[in-house]
Amino acid sequence: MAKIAGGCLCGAVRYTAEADTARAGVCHCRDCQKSTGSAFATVVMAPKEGVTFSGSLKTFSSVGGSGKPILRHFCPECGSSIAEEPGTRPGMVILNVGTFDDPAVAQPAVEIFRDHVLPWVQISGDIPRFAKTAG
Amino acid sequence: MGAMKLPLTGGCLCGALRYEITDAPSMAYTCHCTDCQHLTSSAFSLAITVADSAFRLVKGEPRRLQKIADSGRVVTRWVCPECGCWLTSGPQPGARRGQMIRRVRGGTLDDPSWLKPTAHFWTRSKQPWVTIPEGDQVFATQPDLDEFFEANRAR
Repeated sequence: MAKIAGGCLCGAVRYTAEADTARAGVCHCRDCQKSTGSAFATVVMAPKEGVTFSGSLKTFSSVGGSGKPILRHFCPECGSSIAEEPGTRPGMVILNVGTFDDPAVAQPAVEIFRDHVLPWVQISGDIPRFAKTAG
Repeated sequence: MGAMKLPLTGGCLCGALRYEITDAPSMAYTCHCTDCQHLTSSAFSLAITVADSAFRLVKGEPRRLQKIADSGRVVTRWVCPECGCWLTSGPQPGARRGQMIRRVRGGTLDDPSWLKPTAHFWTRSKQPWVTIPEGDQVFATQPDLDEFFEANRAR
């Protein structure tokens, strides 16, 4: 586990967390593409008790691909999408790597929802890759 | 890869904002600058450049967030007040006199499967595990964007 510090673009929201940054996930699902406006999301799971936020977050709740709710927390001032709480993994927070102060600490260890991958995207490394979720 | 079908449609994750685009985009690119990594919370941003006259917001009212970019220009971003999703820039002057363009976030398209960026900016701060397709145009920082987009629009 490594200590992480991060925050939104405008600085209104900051956080610290402890997470296994060597086990980042790259998710190509349509919700992640829409939410990021980019090709995929890069995320790290962290136990909720080790995550501390400062500043106000706004939360958008929807039903994820699993059929369970997912809470998506973002900065209402600059829109940066910071973290999610998945109904499938109570007690865990998903941190969005692009908001880390040093995103280079995260190393993708798995790709999921490759059934929606944009064909030009290449994630390097000898890592497992799944059409939907792992297993 | 699918074929592009006009009009292009898209919107934010929660559906409060919806748009349509009636002309083919002139350019698709990624930007790996650290601001784009923060805003997308991903590894890079993905954008298409479209004529502002071809873009129409068909549902909802965005928040218009302004920031002074490193270039010194004021950049406006249209963001969903409900889900935080960044949809597009505001209209901004293009390279030619009188021309207005805007940059729409590729991932917010209902069907981005046809979308293939051909230029990649700020690769100086690219994450090492992202591989850029061979043959694409790569810039360690960024070229003069107005000139670049004008030079690359004739296809």
